[in-house]
Amino acid sequence: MLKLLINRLIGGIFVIFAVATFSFFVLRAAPGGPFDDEVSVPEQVQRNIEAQYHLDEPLLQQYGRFLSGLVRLDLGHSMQRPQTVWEIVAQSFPVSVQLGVLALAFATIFGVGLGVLAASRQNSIIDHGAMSFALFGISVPSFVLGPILIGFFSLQLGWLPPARFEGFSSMILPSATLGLIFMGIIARLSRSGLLETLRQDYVRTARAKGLSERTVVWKHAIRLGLLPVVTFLGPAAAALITGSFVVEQIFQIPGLGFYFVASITERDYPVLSGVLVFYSIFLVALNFAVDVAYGFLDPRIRGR
Amino acid sequence: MSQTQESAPRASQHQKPKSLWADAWRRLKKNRMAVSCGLLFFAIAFFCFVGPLIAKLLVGLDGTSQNPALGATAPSWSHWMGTDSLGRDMMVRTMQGGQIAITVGLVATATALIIGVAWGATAAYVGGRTDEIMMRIVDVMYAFPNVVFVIVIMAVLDTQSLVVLFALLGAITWLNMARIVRGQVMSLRNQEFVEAARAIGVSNANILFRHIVPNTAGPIIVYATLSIPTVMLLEAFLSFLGLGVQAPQASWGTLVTEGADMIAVYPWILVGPGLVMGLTIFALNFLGDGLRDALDPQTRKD
Amino acid sequence: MQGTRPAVAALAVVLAACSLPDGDYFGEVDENPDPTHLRWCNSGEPEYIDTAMTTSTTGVPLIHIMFDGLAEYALDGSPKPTIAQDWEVSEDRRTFTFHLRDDAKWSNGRPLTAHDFRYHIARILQPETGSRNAEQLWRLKNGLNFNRGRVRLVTADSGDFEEGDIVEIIQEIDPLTQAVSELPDEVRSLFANMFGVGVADPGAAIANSNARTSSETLNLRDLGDDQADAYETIPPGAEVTLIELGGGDRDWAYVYYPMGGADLGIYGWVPVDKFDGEPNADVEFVVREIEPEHVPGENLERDPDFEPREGTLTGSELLMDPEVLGVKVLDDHTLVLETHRPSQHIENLMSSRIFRPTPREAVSRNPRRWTEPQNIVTSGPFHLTEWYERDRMEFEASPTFWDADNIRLERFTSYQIDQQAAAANYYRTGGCSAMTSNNMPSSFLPVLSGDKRGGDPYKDYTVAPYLGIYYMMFNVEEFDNVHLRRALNFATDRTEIPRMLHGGEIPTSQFNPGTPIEDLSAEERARCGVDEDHEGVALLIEEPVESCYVPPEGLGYDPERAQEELALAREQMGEDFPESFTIRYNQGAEGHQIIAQYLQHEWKKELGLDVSLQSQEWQTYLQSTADGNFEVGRLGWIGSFPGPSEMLRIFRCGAPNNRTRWCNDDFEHHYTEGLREPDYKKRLEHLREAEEVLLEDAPILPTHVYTQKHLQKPYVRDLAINLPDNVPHHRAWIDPDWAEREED
Repeated sequence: MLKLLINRLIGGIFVIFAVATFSFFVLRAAPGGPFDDEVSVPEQVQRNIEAQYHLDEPLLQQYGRFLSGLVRLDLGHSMQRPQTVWEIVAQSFPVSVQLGVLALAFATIFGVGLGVLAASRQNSIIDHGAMSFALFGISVPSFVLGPILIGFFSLQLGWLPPARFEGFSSMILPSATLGLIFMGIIARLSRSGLLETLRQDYVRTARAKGLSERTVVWKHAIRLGLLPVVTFLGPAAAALITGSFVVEQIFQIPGLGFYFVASITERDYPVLSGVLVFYSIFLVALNFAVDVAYGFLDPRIRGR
Repeated sequence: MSQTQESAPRASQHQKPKSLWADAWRRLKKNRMAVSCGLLFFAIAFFCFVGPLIAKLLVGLDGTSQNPALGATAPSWSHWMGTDSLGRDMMVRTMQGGQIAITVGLVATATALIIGVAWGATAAYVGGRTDEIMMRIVDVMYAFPNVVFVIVIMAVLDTQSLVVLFALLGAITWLNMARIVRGQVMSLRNQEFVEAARAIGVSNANILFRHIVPNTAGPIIVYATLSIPTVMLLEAFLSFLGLGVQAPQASWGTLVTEGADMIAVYPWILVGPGLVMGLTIFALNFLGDGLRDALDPQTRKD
Repeated sequence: MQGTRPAVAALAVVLAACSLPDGDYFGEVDENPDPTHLRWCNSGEPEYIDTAMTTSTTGVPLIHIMFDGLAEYALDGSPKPTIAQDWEVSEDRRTFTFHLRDDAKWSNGRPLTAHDFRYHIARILQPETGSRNAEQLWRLKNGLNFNRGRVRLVTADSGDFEEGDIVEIIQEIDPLTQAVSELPDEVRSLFANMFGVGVADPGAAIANSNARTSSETLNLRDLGDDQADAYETIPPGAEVTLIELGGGDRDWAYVYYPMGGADLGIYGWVPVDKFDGEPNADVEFVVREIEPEHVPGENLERDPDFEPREGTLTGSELLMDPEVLGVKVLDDHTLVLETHRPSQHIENLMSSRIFRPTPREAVSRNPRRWTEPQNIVTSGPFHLTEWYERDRMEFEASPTFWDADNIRLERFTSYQIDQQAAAANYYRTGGCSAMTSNNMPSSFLPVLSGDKRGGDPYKDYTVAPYLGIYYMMFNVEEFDNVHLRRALNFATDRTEIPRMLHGGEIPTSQFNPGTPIEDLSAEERARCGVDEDHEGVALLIEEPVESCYVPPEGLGYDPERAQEELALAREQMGEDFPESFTIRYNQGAEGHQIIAQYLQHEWKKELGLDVSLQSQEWQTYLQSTADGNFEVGRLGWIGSFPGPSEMLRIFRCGAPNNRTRWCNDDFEHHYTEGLREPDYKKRLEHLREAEEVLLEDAPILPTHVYTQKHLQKPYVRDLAINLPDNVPHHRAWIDPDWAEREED
């Protein structure tokens, strides 16, 4: 177990390095630069601005500077905003986390509920209905769902605010919009996971012992049956942060997702590299946590 | 975890490959929901690819000629799905959008299929250090937010051509395919029939692509079916970011984006394409589930 | 079919969601609104709220409420003096003397004086600042050359030059270039062509003649403070840049040290005698005396009788010093501006951000982050108290503002909502009481204007002309035939545009924007010398003299002439005639695509040309049009104040924003004549001739005058709507008794 985790950690560092390198070079290959604007400035002034951000140095020297900063966990200064990358992350990441946690909670509660319901009544009309609903969640893009929810709950009924992230009532629509697709996936994963576990020998034994179906499902099968869900939660949590871009846009939420796209369109090199590095650190950490949780949940792995 | 337990019946399947497919087909037919979803998908595809021709021949609608004076109108007898703000018929636009969306879905999935199968199978069959390096590369790419990848590359290439879109969407969906195929091949490579082939001197490439890969077809078909809707949604997301196909061409993604923007004013611009797109994705997902139940012994119902 | 059920449910929701407000107002109205607080939907997060740095439409309104200047904006959008109490203009319109009020204060209590203006102007022009607002100050004496970092004060008698002369650096002498330049001409050109050596790069960075070092630790502080009051220290030996000399005997130095970190660098004062090193003292520069009238880079012919002195000076004899600029402080309350040429626009610029000073003590300590609430020092009617990134900013009325008694609001909130639909929805549900004009979602326009409801516009919605023009541009290197460009102009029926965009856009074939003549009063028409049948727009001008500019007619829709020109083009171009070509436009606004598609359709219909479209991401688009990598593209241009030279200057030869690459001697001639003319009305005639040349030679195809679309709750008063969209937000107030007034 320990060896596995150490291996994962080394692999994770390699991944972060690769992501950093790729993001450093790729955006610089795109046409245009961070200081090109509709209104031009004298060439010399442009060069002065670029020098402030070391863009006048040879590319490899810039890369060296970037890497040495990275080792010191210094992600650099935004070229478009009067802030460092860390300040940007520190302002927007907590908002993304808040939104993501709510969405994930929404997705997990309703997803597992639907999945268990469907699995325990396999092939019944309830099963089909629950799975159709789950599929519906997967089939509707959030930029379609979001405006519909706003139109109905904010503009028509006037129950919930249509924009901004202030107070619990404003968080309901965005987290539902963001969570629905994950709810669908989780419902399907938990249904199939549970169905598979219900066929395992130990569950059959439990049934043979005369335990009620409810006890069998909720006490014995569910822990193993939900393993696929746990595996999914790691990447899902990461995806919620980048994937929240659309929801952040629609509901005007000042989260981190914005910078993944804005940094590209604004050619803000340090911000793109910075948020991607931060994202991959986050992803590696989450996967690490999932590995640990997995070992805890699955006795067969814990034993090794 | 349970891979090894499943490998025994698989070896015996190889001896009677016909019965595997016949068996699957029989099971699939029993799943009425999946079959009707499959039919629905083909009906939509037919509607999209043949519909515009009929509309052009019968009523002379082409989906590109503009009528700014007409502007956006609600559904009517002359325009069943209404018109957009430039006065173009939404039904023909939806069909044309479908052509592109379905083509993108199919071509990108095929691209992913080719890369993924070759990559995964090679890694698993060669094994050892090669396997480790190849799968590490997959891991690294996994850690990269794929949408960001697509946006950056599109910015670098400064293009929105369909071919690039196909290639990029394929390039980010092959990772899962590679992992699935690798897992399958791993469990097959030491089977008796492979060793037998090896013993009689069949070349490695021959063994891999003539004997092992066909045995992984089930999961691959299932995964491919399920990745078409994923690709369609990705394309829609790119359209939302303004990186979809070029006007005046339209895909469902660009139509739906436009519609979502105008929902308060011209709801039919969203409803038509949104409904057809939703149905397609829904149908493909259901079909994929049905195929999984029929083809993948792991989840086969007792 | 089970699958259709959710879809049907979705449909029902969609249809329910689309019902529109059916009252008189689009937004919810409050019977008893809070009279102390204006909540305003801004169009996004401003990158900077530093008056030297901000150019964005999101930042400019906010700095206008926080920073006072020579003038503010009146309700009609023209300048209204605040700190400048009165001023004198010299006969030749090259010297402007402003008398400043003595009760202007910063929020930290320090009096705001002429020194603050001088510091601010020099800061904008410092190349190290990297300000995009510098261009407006190039008109000051030596402004452009200072901004390019090429003007120096001579500090010692040397050769032909005397201490106190002002010179322009032609090039830095580096040994290699020097060696090559001494070779025979043929050999030198060989080197230049093959290896690129021996060629002076006019834009290259040159050695910093203001670099200084000290063997002691430097203690940065405010002017005249003790060493003990220092807020930062610089290690011995570190290279700093001398920015200006100050104190009674110029015995203090204001320096910049690029220390990195979140602020990138830091400024501060130290006694001059602390310096004992000058790293570039021995570098040699070729310098030239500056011609009084000539502004380099502005394409004006040189005076043939002027023979400038040239020579070679070393770094130790040269100093880049704001003293050389045309901005002088006579005393604490008298500021003098000097311009190179007769300047007609200083009065118009008085309320611009270039004359709204920034507080040196705050900028020195945190050059980048001085605008954060804990650091900021303001001078205007409102003070920033809270800033939640990409969400909102809170302002409170400032008690130190000299005219605080006449400010009726106590609080001002700016919601930074960049998503247009979100902003409109937020307004609709009562989140904010007014929206910026540039953030209206285009899909809402048919509703707001009443087109969609088959009735009148909502009462809280206003459309007005805007001082901006939307135009297509041709790359004249690709479209080098004038008849082709004219044919495309004649083939375009602009009157369809407002019907497609629904924003009340004003179709035009003229380049200068303005108010439609039919909307002018009889008196205004008389001022413009036109009758009501005259088509097109006219631009009413208040400063420097009350006047009016009526642009030439341009090439409007005329299918027959389009065919004639097309035939000529085909004949003259032969095989080079572009049967098919591409219109490029940038993503981000739906209107660009609608217009491009419309032109594609029209040009096919009228001229039979096959046009394809390509949209590009904004940065990519800017790059490819700047590189001349396009055939037809789109752009908009917004004037900052009414006046044709503001608009026409972008089409000068080689001007940075002239993406068409058009360069026309007649145009240059008329434009230059206009610039040299001290009489404003005569000047307008020259400029009108220049515009005539522009429209007839057609490197562009103007399509419409932009309009501004405002949503304001009925109880919001004096949030003025004017042609340049200069809104004095701080003068707005909220009428709690609006409902009663409404009934009257």
